[in-house]
Amino acid sequence: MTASETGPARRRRVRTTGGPLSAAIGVVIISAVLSAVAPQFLSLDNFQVIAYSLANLAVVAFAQMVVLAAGGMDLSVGAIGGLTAVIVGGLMETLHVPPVPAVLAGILLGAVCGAINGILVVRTGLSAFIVTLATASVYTGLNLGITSGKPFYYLPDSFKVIGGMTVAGVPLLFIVMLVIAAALGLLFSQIGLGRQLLAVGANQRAAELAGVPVARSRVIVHGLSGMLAAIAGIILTARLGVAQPTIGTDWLLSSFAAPIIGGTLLSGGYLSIPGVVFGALLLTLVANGLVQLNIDPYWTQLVSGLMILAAGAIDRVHAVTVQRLERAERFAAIPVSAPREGS
Amino acid sequence: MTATPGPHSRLPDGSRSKSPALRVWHAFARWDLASVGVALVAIGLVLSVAVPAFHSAYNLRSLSFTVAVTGVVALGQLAVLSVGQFNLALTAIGAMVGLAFGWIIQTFGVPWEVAVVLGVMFGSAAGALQGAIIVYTGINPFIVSLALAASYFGAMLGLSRGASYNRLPPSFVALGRAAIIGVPLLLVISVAAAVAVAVLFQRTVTGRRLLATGANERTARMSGVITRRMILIAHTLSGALAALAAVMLVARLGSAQPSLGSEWLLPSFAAPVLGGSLLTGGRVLVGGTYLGALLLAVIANGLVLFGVSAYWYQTLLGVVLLVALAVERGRQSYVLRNQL
Amino acid sequence: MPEIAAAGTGASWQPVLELDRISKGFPGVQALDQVSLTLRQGEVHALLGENGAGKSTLIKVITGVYQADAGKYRIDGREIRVASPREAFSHGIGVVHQERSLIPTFTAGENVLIERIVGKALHRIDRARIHRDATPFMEMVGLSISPSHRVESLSPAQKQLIEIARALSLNARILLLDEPTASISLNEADSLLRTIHRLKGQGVSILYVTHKLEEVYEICDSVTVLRDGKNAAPTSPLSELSRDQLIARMIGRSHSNAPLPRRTDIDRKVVLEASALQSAHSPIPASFRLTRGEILGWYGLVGAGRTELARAIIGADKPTGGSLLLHGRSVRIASVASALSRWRIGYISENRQEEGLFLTHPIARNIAVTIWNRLRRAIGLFDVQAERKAAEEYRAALGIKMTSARQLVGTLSGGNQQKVSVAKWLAVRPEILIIDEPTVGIDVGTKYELHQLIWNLAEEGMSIILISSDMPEIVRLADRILVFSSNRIVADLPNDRNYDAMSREIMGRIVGDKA
Repeated sequence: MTASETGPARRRRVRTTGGPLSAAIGVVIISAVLSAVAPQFLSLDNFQVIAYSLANLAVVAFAQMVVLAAGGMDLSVGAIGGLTAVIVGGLMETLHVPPVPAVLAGILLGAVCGAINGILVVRTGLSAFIVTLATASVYTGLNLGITSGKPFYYLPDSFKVIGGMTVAGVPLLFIVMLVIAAALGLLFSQIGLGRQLLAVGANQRAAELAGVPVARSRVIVHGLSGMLAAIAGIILTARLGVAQPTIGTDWLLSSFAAPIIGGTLLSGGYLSIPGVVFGALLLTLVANGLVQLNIDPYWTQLVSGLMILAAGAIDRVHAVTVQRLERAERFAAIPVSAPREGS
Repeated sequence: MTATPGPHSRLPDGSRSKSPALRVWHAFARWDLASVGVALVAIGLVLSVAVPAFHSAYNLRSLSFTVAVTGVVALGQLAVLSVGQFNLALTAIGAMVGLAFGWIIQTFGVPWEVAVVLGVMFGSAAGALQGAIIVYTGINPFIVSLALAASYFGAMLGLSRGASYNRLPPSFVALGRAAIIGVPLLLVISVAAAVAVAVLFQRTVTGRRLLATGANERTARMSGVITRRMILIAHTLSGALAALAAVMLVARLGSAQPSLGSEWLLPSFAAPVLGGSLLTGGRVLVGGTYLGALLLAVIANGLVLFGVSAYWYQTLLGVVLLVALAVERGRQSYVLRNQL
Repeated sequence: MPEIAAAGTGASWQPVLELDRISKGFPGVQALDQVSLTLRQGEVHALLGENGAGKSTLIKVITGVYQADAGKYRIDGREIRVASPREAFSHGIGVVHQERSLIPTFTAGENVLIERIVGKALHRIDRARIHRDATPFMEMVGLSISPSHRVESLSPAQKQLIEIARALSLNARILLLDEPTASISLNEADSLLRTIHRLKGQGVSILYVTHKLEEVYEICDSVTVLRDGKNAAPTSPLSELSRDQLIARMIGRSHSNAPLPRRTDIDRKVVLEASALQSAHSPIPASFRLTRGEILGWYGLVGAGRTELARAIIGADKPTGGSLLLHGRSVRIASVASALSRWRIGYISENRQEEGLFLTHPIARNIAVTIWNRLRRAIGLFDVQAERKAAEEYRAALGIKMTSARQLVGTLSGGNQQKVSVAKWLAVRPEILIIDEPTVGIDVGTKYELHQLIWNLAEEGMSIILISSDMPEIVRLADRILVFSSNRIVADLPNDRNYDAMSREIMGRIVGDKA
């Protein structure tokens, strides 16, 4: 075979691990900077704040990540999160349903909402972009219609206490997030379903030829996304102690930001759970840092936007570098010794 | 595909003969405005009959204001759809321009005529920046648009600190309610914008080139179209239209708030798709888009007239949209399948 | 290139696959008309034919994508019906198409055993075991890389080998290779041919679909030639056919292949001169001259670098070195747009579907795209009528057949599509026209129409660079031939229009370059 197979392989591996690596490096840098300039940064209290924030943000990011990996996208993650949060809250407060069944019902609802997204995409042939744009409106509308904009304040103590529980100083909700991360990691590397979803995202035609039921996979991945969105909403509700209808209204950007910063390809076929977690952590740290440094929180969005742009730029630089190196190798293999002719 | 008897029976020369009814049906199905036209007529009829208040002058005026703004917003997105891209920063540009507009009018007393021009220029610049980043860095356009949406919105929030501007000069606010021979000024402006965009796409070389870029960027480039320029133009135009819509909305509301444009995203995509334009680019129907905006406004209006709580409005809007999109999609595949 | 041992090695004469008078029709066209083909155990059987001869339809019948309207399909002598690709699989038929069908973000081993991985949703995957199990199949095809390599980092030839390994893992005894060397380099093609030889020795029967004669003689034992949906002759062992006989079967005598009448003396004036021209994609400096009214042929096998050089000339790729002279003046061509409008150089792309046409637009828009700026009216507005007229003019001139003015180019036949692509550039009335693979994938009738057109254009004074991998086409049309090999011009030959002599000379230069 041609020589230097490790060359391009190495470079491609750098490319697909580049994202997660950059995010991790970003985390380290920001942490270092913040610990230097903000005295309160390195306190247990602050770490807990960060952990709680990350618990929610990471799961929101996972919800988007799974759909991206399968080659689609979901603009309704926030809407689903908000809807399930108020339904769960309403079940507990108004119908006095105990927390466990209520939470399970909420997760199921999230899965159903997601599955509806998937079925619509598959059946109508419309792009996931516009379908989920419309369903986001529907789910948000249901949310507002049911609550009339009023939060559920009187959640049972048995539920609220979960929000504050810690295990050796680490918030329980954070551990829940880690468990979910591990489960997703297992799913996408070791379980047939996860590989099916990645195959569909990477090359739908090839996946189909290899026997993957593409339509069913799309519905499943959207259902999974809805489920994760619901869990994120419930986590936030537990943390806040209040089921607010406004939950999820600002999730859209972060749901894309964290995966993109963490190296998940917009085109599908690849995901990195550590990458997404680092991406979410980076966003959380920045928001936290702005608070620590007493910078107007109004600037948070601008910083997030610039970070996404930076992530996109890094990915682009990677891609271009890989292309250039491959070209160089290809032409290096051609002997230039023979004289060139032409009149 | 064997020949079936009846409407599709074959003539001796092998071609198919169609009954007149079928011919009419096929022509109708082929008409790009079929879905949105039918929906409008149907919903309009229902409303006219069920809720007499629909035809009241007051209601029609209110409706026309909504259409005016939504129409321009939809045109703003259409501009970018033509080259096959999305402008997710449309709402952010609108909010940014609206707020800046309110700020310079209220704080510095700049005459509104000048402020409008500045506002549109500002919007154009914001759009142009987006286009430039996309074209010159090669970063995924979706990411660029998303990032700029956040950045523009964030910059606006950071600079204005959430302030709104309610004390705008009355001469300007009056424009929001002004009318020319009974037709609201804002509607006139909006339709004029639509006509201008239509002329651009149908009757200018630039318009042809924009559509070529959207249909197939590689082919366009290899056929002598400077696609970079086209993408830049599309984004700049989009920003300008977003700015126009923002200024119109400020005139209508009489105040400039950070929440300006927050409900624009869905209609900006829905109206073009309802009207037959393609999200993939290369095909735009300005008339259809405007009708799509009209349809959305009528639906919203209808919900209000029926006394549906504002909270349920979003749900129904989403549902109606999905139905309408599915129908339009069905029409497109029907036409393609039967090679009409 | 090493000669590979001829028929008989490892082959018995048992037929493993027999197509007996297969017919397949679609509305308006009879794609296959009583086609027969016999593939014997352990042999490499060539399926030859020009593009449009029916090869791809036949492949789809064999692989179960289509079902034949008539005729018998036998495997090991038993008649079967193949109603789907899965059924074809189950009968031991493995296919490797031209377009890659891999999951780029998965590893090599996973792609070899992809059916096992994604076949069921609820099962556990043991990565290490997959990699272990994939190794023997990878060795069978001579892939020496680790199975845990990500596929996206492999070369096109390696990716192809992965697909072959995958077919083997599904117990394919019959391997159908569709234009396998279409998109790999010459070096890699050698390795592939060696792999095929090895597989032969292991009892795999191979159906090798191609339109390249050179490869057929290198590796195949017998051949079936298709022409216009029919057998051009019954299946024959290659040893009994001379090259000329084979070509005759492919092209047939119904269309005129006679040399075109000798043109008047070509003006010696040099219109274009490249001097050590380089670009990122064409890094080896190239120099050549083009004179007025000349047809300069650029011959080379796929991957030889001709398209890349053409792109450097017309501004699609930025030149990184050397110079380009037009009428003696040094020019910098920054984009296709400036090549078109300022310098009147045109380029008809080889990839009409992706680069040459707007499939979703009607014909008029496709043809007029290059001349829109000329169709302006007084106030800068566009003259739609003029566009329609101009397009109609060229449509009629080239004989483009369409069902209505509304018809989208994507629904035209290949030949008509190519005509649209050509019309687009004729509308510009360029001085220099580069034509890249004009007759790939189109029917023979249109092919000869285009040849005549090219000839006429040169007669009228247009200077033409004709890029083609079709030897008969180049020898027929070109006044002079530049031979490309591995991104380099290795020869500049005047064309004496004697096919045998020229083809031998040209191939000799390519082979000599490899040696």
